[in-house]
Parts: sequence; structure tokens; C-alpha cells
Amino acid sequence: MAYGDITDELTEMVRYRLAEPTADRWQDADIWRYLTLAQLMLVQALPYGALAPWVSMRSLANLSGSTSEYDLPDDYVKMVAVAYKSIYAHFWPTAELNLLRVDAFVAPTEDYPVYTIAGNQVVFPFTTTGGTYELRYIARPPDMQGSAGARPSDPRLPWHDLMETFAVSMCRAQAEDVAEADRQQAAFADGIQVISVRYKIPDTVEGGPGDVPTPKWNIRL
Amino acid sequence: MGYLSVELASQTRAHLNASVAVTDAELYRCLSRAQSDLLWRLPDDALRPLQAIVNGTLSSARADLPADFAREQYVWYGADQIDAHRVRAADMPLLTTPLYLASETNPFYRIFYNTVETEPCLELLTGDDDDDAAYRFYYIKEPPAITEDEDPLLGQELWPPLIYFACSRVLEANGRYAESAKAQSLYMRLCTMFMARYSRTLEPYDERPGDPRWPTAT
Repeated sequence: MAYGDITDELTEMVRYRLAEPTADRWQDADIWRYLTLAQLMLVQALPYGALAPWVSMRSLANLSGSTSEYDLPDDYVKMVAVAYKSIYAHFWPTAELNLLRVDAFVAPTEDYPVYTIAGNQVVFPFTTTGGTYELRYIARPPDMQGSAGARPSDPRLPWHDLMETFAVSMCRAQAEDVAEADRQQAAFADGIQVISVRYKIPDTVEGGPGDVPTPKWNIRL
Repeated sequence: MGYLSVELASQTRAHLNASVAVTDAELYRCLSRAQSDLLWRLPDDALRPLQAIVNGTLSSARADLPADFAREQYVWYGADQIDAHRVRAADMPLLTTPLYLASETNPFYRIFYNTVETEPCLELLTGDDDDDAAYRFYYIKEPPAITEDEDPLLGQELWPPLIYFACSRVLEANGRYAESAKAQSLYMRLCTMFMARYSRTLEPYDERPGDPRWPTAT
């Protein structure tokens, strides 16, 4: 498929569901904006296991001596893991940073590194030396919005029907069709839950994305 | 090829009132969306036609995932086909601890998006960054779109939910929202039935696929 073909397909499907095959009330740019928002919503709402194949990134960068703060990548959304010189660092809440100073027992070292996220930076709250650090993070998928004359990029995530449902809901809301917007929004939320439950790991089980444990989330009996 | 999809489209039309306008292309697109929705909604055991296996060799402990990859089931490593464990996000800091230390006899795997190849990538953690051993990858594949030439991959026992989902979309496009909601509700009910039959629970059960376990609401 050529670049932009999948977005065309999604746009066409949204238009079909809105019963507006050619742009009139809703312009293509509106639909692309809503599809972009749908992707961002999914990235925020779904668990790591579901997102990993599509938006989980790895980034390697150099450490410089005595510098503790390093800028996060531009497409950063949320952190998965940080390795400091090949040793995975433990996350330390920003609100408790002071504890690292006053309690020698938890004081981080190069062999026991910790990190926190603050000020759009990853922070190693100890004296760093040269070497490299590795970030594994969930990235923001590219916007599905074309600039003037350019085709919009394709969605990175595979849940196309969910994205269309969200876009339909937003278009309906824009047209003040509140009841239908609400129904579509509920379907979107249900879809998120279906995917999330699949990747939920029961407390006593270790392993891959399991089968659905019990069908409690969409009872319509 | 195409005989089944024409039959499926015909059965879907039979569920729609004659006053509902829909072209064949629209109908096939809705049925394709239905197929993709079932892929995420039903347990793996209910999706046997979508289960696939790839045998390959790692390159620097990594491998590109198949183009139709939707989600993984199992990863087996090496000639002995040892079951690799998925690294959970929360467990990554533990990878260097003795409990989690990866080795050829205790392999782990993780999947991430390879920005260079711009596709999902499988990474085996075996303690050897240059590992080029064999691997076996069990996964659920994204079914191809249903067209008049491309038959649905799912078995006929799953046609009823496909039909109700497609009806729901077509009715929505025709502005018949109440009927669309009803069709969606019927779709959910059928999904619940399939999920109940194939669901795995933490409680002991005898057979696989599991005996029906109806929702607790009953």
C-alpha cells in the first residue's frame, strides 16, 4: 500500500458512517484531527503490552560527566525503562527526591542507579560519569494530518475500527448529536477495555498476553 | 476464492431491510472491520484460523515480525525450543538481577518498534547480543480484508457475529441508530457466548476449550 492509503481508508469509513461521502459538514482535516486524537487516546489508555510492537521505542544517548539531566526525546509520551550504563535504573518519585539526600541507605550510585522524570528531562540524581544511557519509552505516533497538498501519514496503531469510532463520536458531538456521540464514545471505551483486559496479567500468572480471563466487561444479557 | 465472501455478504443483506441502502464495497468493508474486531475480542482458541507459526533464525538476537502480525502467543528459542518469557514493563529493572538473569536455558523476549526498519521487532534476551539461534514464533495474524475475491478466514460458526457487526455499521450509516445499537447488542451477546466457552480462568477446569462459564451477572 502506498503512503497515506490506510488513512484514506479510515477517512472513507468515517465518512460512510457519518453518511457524508464527500466533504460538506465535516472536512477531511477535521476527520484527520480526530483520528490523530484517537491514536493519542489509545496511547494513553492502553497497557504497555498492547502498545509495545507499535510505539515502544529504544533510544541510546551519551552521558557526560557531572551532568544529571538529559532531555527526553521529542516524541516521548511515557517511560517504560531506563538503563544507566547497561544497568536498569529504578524509578524514584520526584516528590521523594529529598529522601535520597537524607537517607544514606537508599542513596543511588552508579551500581544502584535510580532515575526520575522532571522538567521534560530524565534525571539521574547522583554524580554521573561518561558512558551511555538507554531509554525505552512509549512514543507519540505521527500525526495523521497532511500539510497543504500533502497526504496525511498512516496510523501506527492497528485498531482502525476503534479510531474510526472515536472520530465518528467527535464529529457527532460537533454536530450536537449528543446521544449518538455518547453511544460511539461508549463503544470506544469498551474497545479500550477489551484490549486492556487481554494484556492484564493475573496476579499469580506470569507470561504472554493471555486470553481473556472472564467476559465481565460487556455483558448485554 | 470469493464464493464464501459472496455468501456472507448475501446473508448480511438478508438481515437488512430492503430500504437500507448499501453497496457491495461498503458491505465488504464493514465485514472486514467486523473480522478485525473479533480478532481482539475473542480468545485465541476461538480464532484457530488466525493462528500462525513462523520458524526463523535470529540476527544479533533479533528478528523482524511477520507483516500480518497482530499479537504474539508463544516464543520458542533454540533447537530445544525453550519457551521464552515475555519481559513485562515493570520487570525491566529486574533483568540484571540473578532471579531474572537471561540465558540460553532461561530466555526472555520483548517486542518493540524498530524505528530503522519501521516495523515491529522481536528481541530475544539470552545473554548473547549476537545470538543467531533458531526460534519459533506463534502468533495471531491480522486477517486480510474481505472482498468479493477474498474469503473470510474465520469459520462459518463466527459468521453470525460478523453479520450483526456489519449490520450495525450499515444501519448507522443509514441514520437508523436505534436499530444499529440493537445489532451491536446482538453482536456483543454472541461474543459473550464465544468468550464464555473459550475463556481461561484462574479456577481449575477440566477441558480445553473450557466448559461454558456464564457471566457472574446471571
